Amino acid sequence: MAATIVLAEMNGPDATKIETLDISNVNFGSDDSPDIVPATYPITAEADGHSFEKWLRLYVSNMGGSSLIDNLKIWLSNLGGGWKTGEGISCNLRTSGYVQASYQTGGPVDTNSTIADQVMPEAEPGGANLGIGGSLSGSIAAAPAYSDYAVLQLDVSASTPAGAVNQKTITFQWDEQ
Amino acid sequence: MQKSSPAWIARIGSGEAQVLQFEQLYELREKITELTIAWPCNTYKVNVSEKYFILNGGMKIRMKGMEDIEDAIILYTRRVRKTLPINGDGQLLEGGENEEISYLLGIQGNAFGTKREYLVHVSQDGMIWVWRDKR
Repeated sequence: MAATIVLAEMNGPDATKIETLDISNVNFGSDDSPDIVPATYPITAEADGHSFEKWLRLYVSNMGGSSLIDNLKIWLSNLGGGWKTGEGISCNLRTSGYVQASYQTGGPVDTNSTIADQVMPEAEPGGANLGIGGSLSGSIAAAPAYSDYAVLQLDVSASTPAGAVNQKTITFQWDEQ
Repeated sequence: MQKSSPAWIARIGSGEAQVLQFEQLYELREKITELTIAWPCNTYKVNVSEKYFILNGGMKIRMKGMEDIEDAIILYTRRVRKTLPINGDGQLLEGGENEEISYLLGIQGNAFGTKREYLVHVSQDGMIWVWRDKR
């Protein structure tokens, strides 16, 4: 049996934050909540426009016979119909110069994220791009445990056309020993 | 194809091959001299002490540089990929399968002062990738 690992999303200000386990999508929008319906919370096309940040992390609830879990990678594995004009996703994922993200006092923001300042990878990274315990070479040896936060944000511009953007697929990968 | 977990068949030292549970591999990883990952229709074997692979009962495969590895030990990993939609309808992929499991199997050690890994990346449905580095 493989380890039991789900994606968890944290929302709200730090003092009253709420975590949702086993989210079913990473839909970006103008509301700080999990599994949102994008049409209900559209992102305004404007210069320097942004969705609310997504603060995601892996939650290991059961090691499932594994001794170590490591080598976390996150990337866009399918762009669907591609990017619309001015559309992009920023993140804090990186394979070098990695710094662990700390949950912010005010919670996720819908202004230009100072934490998600990297371009979201569109292919499998050459190494881990999300840390455990603040290190890309970190590992989880016992459950329950969390990875570091992955912080993602959808960016738009004044030129981004109205209507739905194309559906994409995000892949989360880890190794178990 | 119905997905199933493979059997892990290991030889410890010069002993007889025996079936292990995945969770036993970590404790025995420095003693395993040969490890086979076996599904009903395909098998992948790595011989640690003699440094070669055998894929589906075929010829011995020794990648260039494998023979230089010193103090080789088994390298194995269960690799899990989970996918989620962005801006989608929140539904899982067809059949509810949004999780794929594959396995990395090979040897690791040092050669000329540098850490080296040689491995195959396999899945039940027969996909095979041969890599020189786990990452």
